[in-house]
Amino acid sequence: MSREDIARLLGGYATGTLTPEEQQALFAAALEDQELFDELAREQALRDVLREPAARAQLLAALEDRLPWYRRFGSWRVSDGMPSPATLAALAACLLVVGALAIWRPWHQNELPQPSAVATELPAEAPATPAAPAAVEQKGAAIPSTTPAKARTLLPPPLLPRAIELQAAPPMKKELLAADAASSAEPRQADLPAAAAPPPVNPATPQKPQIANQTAAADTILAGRDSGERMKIVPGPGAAGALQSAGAAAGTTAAISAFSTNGTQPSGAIAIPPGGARQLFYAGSAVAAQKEATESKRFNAAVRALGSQAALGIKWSILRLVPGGEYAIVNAEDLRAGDTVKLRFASNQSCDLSVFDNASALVPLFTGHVQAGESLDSPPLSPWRKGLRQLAVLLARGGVTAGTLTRMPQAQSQAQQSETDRGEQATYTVGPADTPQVSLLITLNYQ
Amino acid sequence: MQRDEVLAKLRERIVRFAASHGSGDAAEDLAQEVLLLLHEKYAHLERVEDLLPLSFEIVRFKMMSWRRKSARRGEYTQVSVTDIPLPDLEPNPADQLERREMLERLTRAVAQLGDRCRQLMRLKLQGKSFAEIQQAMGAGSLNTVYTWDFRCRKNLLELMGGDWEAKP
Repeated sequence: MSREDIARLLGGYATGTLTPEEQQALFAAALEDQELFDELAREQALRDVLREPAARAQLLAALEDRLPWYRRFGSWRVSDGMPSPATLAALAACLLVVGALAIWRPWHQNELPQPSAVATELPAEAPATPAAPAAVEQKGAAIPSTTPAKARTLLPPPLLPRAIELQAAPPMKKELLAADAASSAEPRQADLPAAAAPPPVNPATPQKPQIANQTAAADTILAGRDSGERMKIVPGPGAAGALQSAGAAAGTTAAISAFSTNGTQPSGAIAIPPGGARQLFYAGSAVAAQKEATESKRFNAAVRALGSQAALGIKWSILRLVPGGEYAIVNAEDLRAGDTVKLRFASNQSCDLSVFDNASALVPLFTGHVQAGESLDSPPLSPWRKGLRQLAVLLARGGVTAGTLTRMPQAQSQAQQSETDRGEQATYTVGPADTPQVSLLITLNYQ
Repeated sequence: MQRDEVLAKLRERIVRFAASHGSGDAAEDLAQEVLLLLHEKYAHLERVEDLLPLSFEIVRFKMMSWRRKSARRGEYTQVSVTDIPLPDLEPNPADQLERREMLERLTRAVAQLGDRCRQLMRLKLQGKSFAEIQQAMGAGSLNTVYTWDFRCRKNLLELMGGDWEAKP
């Protein structure tokens, strides 16, 4: 063995990996070579540590731990030898995705402005849809109504699917322009006319969509659109009623949408796509609704009235103290024993919040008041050993009382919906619409 | 190789090692103390495979002890070599603290290693020999494993800041 070959055995000394022959070769060479002797002497510190079984076990545990994907990215080094083809493929895929997003996002944002209108998905035969005083028959894009589906009453999360509106926009735009022109000459009505049922839809025959100029403004209703991501834009003044009627008409489907003169949704309404707890959370947000409709006082009043009955929801995230004294949002599975952790809560309505440690014994941790749309951080939780830690959270519209505490198990068993958004690293939990409290369990998994 | 021959070479290597690691004038004394201990306490050991690791261990303990004493009082040179007691090789609280700190640094460093190095390190800590590691990792030859291990050790040492022990 040459000196270089023997030097490669150095790494085996500390871990006791060397066979007697390898050891003998290494030691004999070290006695002759001062440089090798020095390196070997420096390895002694590592050898002393690795001789302890507990230390070995700790290192093995560190090696067994699966790193989060973002840390594994950092550990893909060429110095280990060549990166594997899988690593190169993963890097290439990531670059492609990032490139595609970089191109798509600006385009998407330019093409699709955020919705500012109330929308519900209504059944074709929904009786509560306000009738259009001067309905304009849509001549283009006649899209048949399809089988009934769940009606939804939801407020939009930040991103909404709007491909269908885009497809249908050009033919509708003419009609809407006409409707807008006509409406601008007419005085705005104080109240909407009584709701009337749209004509029944025959699934066998394609039905032309209708545009209703309801308030002599830009707010319109277009009925009879495609079944994929259908929406209805409910005129501003009738928003609350429409939302409620849509909720009541669960199980049916209508294809309704509307566009303002620039081809986007009218500003006085809120678009409501189908979705889970996250969207329900925003649907129940009176604050968000008011923000969306600052131009319409009547709409605000309707939303306020709706707000008291809308589903109470909570959005929560876990924050961990990171070097530098800052807190960063982390996934629940990324916690380590001894981490200093806080919880961040946001509610869609103003309410009181209580957090209890040890869900079975309900040890109070803290109580606070959450304003709608604002977030509230808990005080730092005491560090925890390795294992699970369960916290109980109670959100109550009328304040946390002994009664609300006793109803906690009942509230948990009610039809609450929960959804975790990996992108936001937040979980949404929303209770039934008519329930004044929501309670949930948060399990922290300290690794 | 005979014991006397081994000890003679050891002495030379230890003096140079100690001299290059800051012990300066005390290098000769250090080597002398190591040999004294090997002679008095470990006279039954003959083979280089036994003597060399043991002498490394004694050198390390003595150097740590001298460094601490020097930093604390700056007076180790005032103590006669003959007055220095034979060291207790059991770890004292200071040793234990240093060892724990080193283990923590090591734990953080191994977690940053690449996949191959982590696998290699895991197998080594499980007590596998290089031949067994070759089989487990499907390497073409034993030399390949030696090379991987050499690179991984270098990588780990870099992650530890160039030295296994924290610099004082």
